[in-house]
Amino acid sequence: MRQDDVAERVLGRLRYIDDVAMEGLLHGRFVRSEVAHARLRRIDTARAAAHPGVVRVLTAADLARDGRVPRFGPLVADQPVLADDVTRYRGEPIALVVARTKRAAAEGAALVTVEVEVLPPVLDVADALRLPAIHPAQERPAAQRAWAGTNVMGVWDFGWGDLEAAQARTAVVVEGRYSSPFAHHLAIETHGVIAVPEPDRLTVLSSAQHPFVLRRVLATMLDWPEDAVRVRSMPMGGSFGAKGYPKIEPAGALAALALRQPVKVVIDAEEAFLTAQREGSEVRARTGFDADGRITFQDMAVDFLVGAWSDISPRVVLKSGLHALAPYRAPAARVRARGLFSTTPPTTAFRGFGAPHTILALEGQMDRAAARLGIDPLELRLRNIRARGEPSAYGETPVDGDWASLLRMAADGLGWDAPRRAGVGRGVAIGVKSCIPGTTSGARVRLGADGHAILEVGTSEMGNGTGALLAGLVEQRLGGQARSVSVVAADTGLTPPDALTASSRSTVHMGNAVQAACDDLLARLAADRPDGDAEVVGQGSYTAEADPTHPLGGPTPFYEAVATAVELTVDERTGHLDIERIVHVTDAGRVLDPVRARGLDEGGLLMGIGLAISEQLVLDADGRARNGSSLDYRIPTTRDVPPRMTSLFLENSDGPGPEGAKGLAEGGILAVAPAICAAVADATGLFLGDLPLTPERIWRALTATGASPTAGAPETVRQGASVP
Amino acid sequence: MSGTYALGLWVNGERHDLALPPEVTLLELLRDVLGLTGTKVNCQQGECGACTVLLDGRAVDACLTLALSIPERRVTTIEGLARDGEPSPLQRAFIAADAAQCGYCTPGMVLAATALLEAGGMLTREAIEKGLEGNYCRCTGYEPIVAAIEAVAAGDSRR
Repeated sequence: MRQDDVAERVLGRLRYIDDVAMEGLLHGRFVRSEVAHARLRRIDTARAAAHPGVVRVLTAADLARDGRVPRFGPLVADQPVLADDVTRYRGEPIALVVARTKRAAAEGAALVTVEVEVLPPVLDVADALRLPAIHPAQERPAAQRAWAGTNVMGVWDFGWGDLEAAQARTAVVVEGRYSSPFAHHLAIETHGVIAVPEPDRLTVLSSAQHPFVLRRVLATMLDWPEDAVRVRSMPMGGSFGAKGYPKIEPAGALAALALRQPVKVVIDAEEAFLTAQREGSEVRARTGFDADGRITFQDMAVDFLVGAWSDISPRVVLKSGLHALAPYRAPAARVRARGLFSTTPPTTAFRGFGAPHTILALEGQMDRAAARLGIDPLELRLRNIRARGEPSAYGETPVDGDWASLLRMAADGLGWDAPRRAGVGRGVAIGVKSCIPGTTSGARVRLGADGHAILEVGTSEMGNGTGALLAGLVEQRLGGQARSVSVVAADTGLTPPDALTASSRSTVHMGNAVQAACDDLLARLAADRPDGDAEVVGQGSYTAEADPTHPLGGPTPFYEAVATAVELTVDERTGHLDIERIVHVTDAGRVLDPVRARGLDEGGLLMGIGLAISEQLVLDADGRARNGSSLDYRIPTTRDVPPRMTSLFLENSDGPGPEGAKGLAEGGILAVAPAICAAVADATGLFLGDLPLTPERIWRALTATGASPTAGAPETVRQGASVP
Repeated sequence: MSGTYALGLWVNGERHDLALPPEVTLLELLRDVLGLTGTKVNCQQGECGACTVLLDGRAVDACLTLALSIPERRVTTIEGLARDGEPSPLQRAFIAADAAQCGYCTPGMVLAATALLEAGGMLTREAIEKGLEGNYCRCTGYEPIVAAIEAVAAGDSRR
């Protein structure tokens, strides 16, 4: 089944959103703000409207309902469909030119002129704290009222134990600063939508990861019942979180309704950079250890820069803070996670969902401490790692795996204790991420008299391969009852509700729902074998535990835990890193599709390498993206693949999914950056905490400290040393 | 407004005689005029390789090629690679190696690799990596793609 899915891609037959054509389809192109922060004075659309082929030029005023352009968002509705009075990032849509052809729309868009009064841009954490609020106080949603008049989106505090008392038992305190820049998903397919209006109804085809979330957000924005909107997710050419929450769909929908004609909007690659980014972050950490290397306290403050809209960032920030300390015991802890608004391209979910930002800091602290205490970094981790059954944070699911084994397997895979060549550095890191709690997946299996089974699931397809995995579960469960299985996926008009395809949840949640649906079908068959052409239908669902008192709405259904070990050399003349080997181990519970599981882990690793050593969105002083294109941003290519990359699985059948499976699609990215940082420290004595570790950054640090690559642990440790 | 100019060329063995404005790229010709949507669009700067097609057997970026600049040439797209509905040996190797996840880079990747294989010579791993440097993939980590090409280069085109 998976091979059939791959075949239609390899033969070029799979149709994505941009491949869909239909009669009377109009094409939309955004006019985007040229400045990061400004009051809009005048938008002149006359020349564009007169351009041949242009049908309408829509501005916020044209789309206004009750005097105002609608706002939308998955948590709070704070993103305007088109900027109205103020534009809050360079690249924000200001108008949508709708034309009979793509080319006419693009030509028309170039003819729209905008007069603005420039306001000071808010581009980093310091700006956000210092400059006036980018959102008027009265416009802040109820959930954020406490921070009205500031650029704070929200603050989440977590902690336990007695920090004061813990300091008394502390022999060594390690301090560190860590940062992760804005970074782009760079799915090879950009975002696209086709909105088809009918009287009192709307059908939306979209490159949407979460069709049911998009349906809810569109219906809320329109003030329509949900079933008046049908969303069909087309197979995506990658997403990695970028297409998770509504982006361009609200504009496409309102344009189609205004024009009473189907409208297609497919953005280009440079626009994708202006549509979705990973949150930037700065972390300050203090960690105490006793003389034996046992953690006495953790004290961490995380600032996330989220762009101008909330999108899903409140969840990213909260979750990142709550689970920041998951892998290691700490008798006392304090974590403050804060989200800050900025006039920068919007941020959203990104593979790892905030976890990599704090894992970088947590693991960086361990390596600094190991050097300081003279304890092997692996040994120090093993002394502090939580055992199975311990809670990972207050109220959380007890640890559901052998995290110490993960670390050992990764380190052993590298030959941790084996002698190494001069100049070679080794590092190992653990990464733990929780899964979204309290969500439901539903599945339906229909068995026809011809023996063909149709599986209906809300799970979307973006390279995850879940559809094929689920079809395999149906074949297995129905045994000889089904001659063949096909999948109908991700269409709110056809498939039972599913919360979302994210958080590595679908194998567990939808896998269980599918098995339940099969069991239901088998029970119906056994009770009353149908006559003639009658179809037998089985339904099933799975809901993870919810708890309204839990900060996230419930405990994690499972942990996505990985360990990554890296061996590299550093060229002291150029600062260039040469990653020679990577060993990655995933606690999969049980691997249901070994080939794709390995592919997802390796793909995640290479993406993680890119984020660790080269990828960052660079903004100039005016907030303009300086490298917002495929050419200038540069993701890893075939030339960046480490010569030896090993992906292993720990399988103890201890997950909540079919056969004890856990989810695994995000894990590749979680621990590779801190493992690389650790290996660089091992090779050079430099403890760098600011990503990406570009050759220039490493070279400058080497030059500034006079350090040079040597084997083994450095004699002196510069605490919290980081390069500006 | 520009006028149109006559263009005759071959796409996947089929003759097309068209009248096109000068600004139309090969990418637009394939996708929007001929409806061959297997060729994909990303950067439109010649960097990502998603729109790679074969021009007389050589890999080119369709986004950077003006249609009128290739009269009487032979273009092969992903739709034209299979013979009598049978995937090419390289396509079979891609399927066997799970060398596509989302699949968006795949047509360009397969065509770039086809050109590499057809150029002949020793295809070492390094030569494959160098030859595919201009084709971005964000899903797979490239390993299965390189493995699939190595398998075909080694004369092993098992399913």
